[in-house]
Amino acid sequence: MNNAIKDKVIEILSSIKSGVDFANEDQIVTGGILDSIDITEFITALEEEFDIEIGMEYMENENFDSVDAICEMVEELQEA
Amino acid sequence: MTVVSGAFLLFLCITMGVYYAFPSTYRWLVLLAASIVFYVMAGRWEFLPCIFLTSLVVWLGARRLAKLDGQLKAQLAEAGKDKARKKALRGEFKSLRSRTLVGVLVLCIGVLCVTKFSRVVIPMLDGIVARTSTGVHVDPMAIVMPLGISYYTFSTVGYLLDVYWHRYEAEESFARFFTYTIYFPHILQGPISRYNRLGQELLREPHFDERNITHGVERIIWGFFKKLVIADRLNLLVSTVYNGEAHAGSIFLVAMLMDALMIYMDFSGYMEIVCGASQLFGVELEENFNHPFFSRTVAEFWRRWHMTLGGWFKDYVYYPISVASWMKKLNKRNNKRFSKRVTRVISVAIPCLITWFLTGLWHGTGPNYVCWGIYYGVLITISNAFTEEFKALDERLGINVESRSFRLFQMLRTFCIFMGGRVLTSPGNLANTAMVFDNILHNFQPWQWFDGSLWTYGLTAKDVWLLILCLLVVLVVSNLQERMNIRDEIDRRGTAFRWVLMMAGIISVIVFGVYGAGYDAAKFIYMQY
Repeated sequence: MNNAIKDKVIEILSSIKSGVDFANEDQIVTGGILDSIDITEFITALEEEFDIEIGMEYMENENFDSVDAICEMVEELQEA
Repeated sequence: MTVVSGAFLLFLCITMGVYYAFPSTYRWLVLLAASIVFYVMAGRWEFLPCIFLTSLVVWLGARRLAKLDGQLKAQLAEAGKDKARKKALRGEFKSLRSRTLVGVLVLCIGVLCVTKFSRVVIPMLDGIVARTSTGVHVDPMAIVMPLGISYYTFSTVGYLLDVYWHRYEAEESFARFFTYTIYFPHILQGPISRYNRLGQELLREPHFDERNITHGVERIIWGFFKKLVIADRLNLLVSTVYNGEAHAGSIFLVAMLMDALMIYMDFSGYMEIVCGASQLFGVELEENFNHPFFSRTVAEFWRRWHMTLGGWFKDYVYYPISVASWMKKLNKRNNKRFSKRVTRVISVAIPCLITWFLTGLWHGTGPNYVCWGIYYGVLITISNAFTEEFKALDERLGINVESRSFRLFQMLRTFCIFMGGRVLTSPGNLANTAMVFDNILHNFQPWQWFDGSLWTYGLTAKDVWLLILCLLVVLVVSNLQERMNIRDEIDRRGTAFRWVLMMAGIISVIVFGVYGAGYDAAKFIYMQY
């Protein structure tokens, strides 16, 4: 996994919600750390940062529940 | 037949006997047959073609989407390295897929809108037609509302959208898909189940498990207790006070409080019964409640109340609007014109207000429901827009936001906001809502709580004491459920303990349940939606 992507994802997440150890969190959405409004903000930031477009097919909890899952999604979208 | 009747319990016993007598591979067929029987017995046989046709149209639509995907894949392989051809093919199939989706959505949502809005729109049209002196008269009541239409339309539309967005494969068997749509524990009032969860649950060939039976029975008894002992007792006063006539503000205030508690006990009681009934067959339904009255904010409340409806609107309305290309363009344009904060507030407000407006319409078509939706949309938008200011205010006032007293204050505040929302819809229309507030502000008469007047609204002092006791039981149980798995704890304490609890529950329901001539215990509030 690309560490640069990982660091940037954690940075964006922390700018939306501070005080959370996102690197070791695996229930970011299902655990209620980010709500739907935060998720929307996060997606906008991700799209701008990585020049990707996150379509509705990616809007599932498992794609946003951990930093690893988010990075995988970003890498997949960058390759597409 | 409704879920709080002896007939339903008998139906459950017979279905369970047949279900476990069948080989596990074919058990879902027993559920399909039982669900059809239940649907006809709970409503009218004329409703059956409606749910059948909706399911068929959605199933065919999803199959067509899957077929188009297959064709695109094959033609892309044929195109080889011809990029222009591939791009053209993708565009062509995207358009075909979109048309299929829109066609099915228009049909399904159209039927739902016709049935829901007819009672509002037809009288208006009738007035216009009457003025033209044609003698034509349309009776809005002639348009029937099929049982559970709001629920099964949302379940099936959700399935279609998931297939469209490639979240999972389209179901090949219509019989299996129809079992999911009409499955009797969720057809009347939800939960609005997702196909990838309930569909799999129904087909996983469950084996007989004694724990499923005991846990299922425990939940059914708990649901009966919430509905018959608490909700229906609260309803005695609420329905008497909200009769369109003026009463003292103090009486309206009691009705507001009882109404808020009643709808929770009524709806969550129903969910306990149907989740328990489903568990008897080894099928886990999605939970609809997570102790919403422990919520500290309105947004949290709606993540804990009617969770499957909230989840549906979030996934199929809020997110699609939020990530839509027009919304992104608007955000970019706003970024140039306004500050980052204003852009953010607008980007939250638009999807939030649209979602809540539609949530209001889902609950009812009158102006009071529109106001109800806007009420929550505005509240959630404001709380999000001014998060920083609220935080700063707390700090300036030196409030320890994690202290027990402040958390209790937040819970009470959320409960009061919920009561405010209920009073927009419960009295029947906005004129009655205005009357409630007018009497609270100008005609309070607090002595009516003490001079015996309160006991003329359907409840006696004994009823109130019983309600307080039962509500305390629910509070204690809810508190325990927040901290532990209460049913595992009951299991751990042994069979005798469980039987004592179950017998206490059954006796409470028999002795304290609200029954009697003229009282329709069977009617659940959320069935009207």
